[in-house]
Amino acid sequence: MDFHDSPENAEFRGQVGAWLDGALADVPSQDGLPQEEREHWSRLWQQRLSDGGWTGLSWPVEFGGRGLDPLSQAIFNEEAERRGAPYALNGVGSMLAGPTILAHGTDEQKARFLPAILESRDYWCQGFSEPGSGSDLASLRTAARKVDGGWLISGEKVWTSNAHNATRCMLLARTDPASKHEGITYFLADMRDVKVQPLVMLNGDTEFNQMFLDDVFVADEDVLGPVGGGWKVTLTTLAYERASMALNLWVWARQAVDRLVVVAAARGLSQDPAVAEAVGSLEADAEAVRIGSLRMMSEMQAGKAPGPETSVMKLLWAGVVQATNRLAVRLQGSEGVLVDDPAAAFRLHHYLRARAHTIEGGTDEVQKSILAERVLGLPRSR
Amino acid sequence: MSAIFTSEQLEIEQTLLALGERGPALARAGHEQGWQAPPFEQRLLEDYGIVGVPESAGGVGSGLVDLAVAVEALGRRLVPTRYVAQAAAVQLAAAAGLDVADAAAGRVRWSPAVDEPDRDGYDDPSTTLSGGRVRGEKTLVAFPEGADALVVSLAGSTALVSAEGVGNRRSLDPSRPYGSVSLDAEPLAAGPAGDGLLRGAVLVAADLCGVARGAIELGASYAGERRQFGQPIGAFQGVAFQLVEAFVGLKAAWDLTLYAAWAVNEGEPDAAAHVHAAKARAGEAAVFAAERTIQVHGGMGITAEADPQLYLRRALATEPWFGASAWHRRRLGLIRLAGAAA
Repeated sequence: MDFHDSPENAEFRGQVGAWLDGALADVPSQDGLPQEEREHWSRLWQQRLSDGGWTGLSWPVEFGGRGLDPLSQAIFNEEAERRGAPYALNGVGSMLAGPTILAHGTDEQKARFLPAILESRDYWCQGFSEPGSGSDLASLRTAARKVDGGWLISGEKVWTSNAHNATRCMLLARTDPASKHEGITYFLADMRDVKVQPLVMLNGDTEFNQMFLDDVFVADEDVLGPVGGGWKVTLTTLAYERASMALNLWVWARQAVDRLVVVAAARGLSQDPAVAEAVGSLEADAEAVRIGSLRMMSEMQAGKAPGPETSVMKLLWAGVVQATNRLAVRLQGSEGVLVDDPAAAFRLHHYLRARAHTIEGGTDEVQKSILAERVLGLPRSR
Repeated sequence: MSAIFTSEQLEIEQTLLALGERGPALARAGHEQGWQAPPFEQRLLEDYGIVGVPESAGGVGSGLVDLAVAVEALGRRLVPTRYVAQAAAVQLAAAAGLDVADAAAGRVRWSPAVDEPDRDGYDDPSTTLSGGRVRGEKTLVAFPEGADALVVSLAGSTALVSAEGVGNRRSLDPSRPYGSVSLDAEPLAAGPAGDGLLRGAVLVAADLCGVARGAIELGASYAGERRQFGQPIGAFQGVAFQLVEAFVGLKAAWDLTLYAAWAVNEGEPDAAAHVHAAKARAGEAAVFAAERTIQVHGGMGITAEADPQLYLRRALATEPWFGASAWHRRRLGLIRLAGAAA
């Protein structure tokens, strides 16, 4: 068991750091910026990643990637987050859509879609959840009707991150109303004719959306995998979503604890035993997310697929970030709830955003069901 | 980076799980008749005594992660062996540069003497070595019966003293016996403490992770068999999720413990913080898992006849050994708040 960077890892980390220092020189701290400005920098950052050849690090070379291992992507993410880099606007494209197309796409689809992701010409969103189909995703009702040369798709999608910036959508629709999982087909839809309406979240941001589709045409050549075979493709996307968690979650947990430490210091509580005990507990969990992720990546390097233990990381991460942000608000005492103070507003913004963590990307309850069945071997409980 | 188990580690785990298969029954016998070493005690101490011993102390290149894996497997089976105490004592002594050859070969039996009645952690012991004598009070001296010597933690140093005068205490877990001692003795040997306490605490964390895993396995197995309302109770989320939450705590604790073992072994600068994280989380995970398993067992769970109580007693009795969870949490928090690496 070795957690040290190998010489190759260390060399790569050095290259990444040198590039990031230059590329981030004119980028302001994203902390406390309004959403519009954050998205401006996210778009610009995505473009810089593309121009610098830092997207698709783990994609095969023949499709324009760098052919590196997952650990290299993790190193890149860690170094970028450490320097406060903006969120790359097309994470959904490079981490989910691209790898799914690599796994299930035809050569023609790969040639058409992958360069547009690498070059940041296409921005992707994930059209999975619906108002009536959240945790029970396979019950989705958005319908695809066969027409000459393609499909006409009608229905409603919800909780779609980044749909307002997206040009393309991983869109699930029902091609056979008579069967559940076997009736689902996976489309690579153009967003041009999809109506997008922002959802205002409880912190005021609008990063999620509703999508309305009214006979949106998708050509036959934009079906990914077989007609009626979309569930298997969906599982691939969800597996990549879980794997990408291992590359990101722990860094976000650490950032949350970093912010808490700053608040405690500002309030003169760095020696307070009760605060120390709470911070120790949160730090332990944040480290557990990091170490669990490193172990998972090592297993992936050794050729194993990410297992159900990923759900533990998701649960721990959501819990630690929520609790950390809650404590940061509380440590400010009465001032913490007066949002005319920008610092208090910033902490509350984080706190309220974190409420989504136990819901997005698979609710706590879904994660626990996965663990109950697949790790503890208990009977199916739903 | 390659944070995966070696084939040797997997083999240690499998061998000791098989060897300790009757562990819960052996632990129960200790509850009823007083602690007795398992029949394979000598074999354990002889064959596995060298595991994790640093090469500087005569080891054969096996590291602290190997030893954590061995201790976890025995803990999972509740084996009432002194192995974890012997290993922790050897680690304490080796870190202080003392000769551990006899103990590592199983020729003598050592117990660590670390915790003190008026201290809630191990950083600041009141036991001293001055004028050629070790003086102070030590408690939670594990497996006092049959111990030849104690490895005693002092402020900044570690001493080996004769095990004479250790009084047996009544442990909450009779299969994990403890004694207390009032020391006023000439040391047999002494040396600077080094990282011995970190090494010992990691092993106790591994032991607790094992207890947590054993409790979860027992609970999950029962929840899959016991039927109510026409189905196994494990099909109810109210039951299943308790065990899942215990598993989440265990996975966190075990990952932290493996990392801490690696960090101490490698002399990483933030090793102490990681040991605090591991020991804090492991104590919580073990007690929580045992309590959930009792709950999942329903009426049977609260009887002396059923096995869940064996895990609870082991967990609760082991949690304060080498510093209680709350103390480790607080120490970790203070390190983090001071801006030090964690």
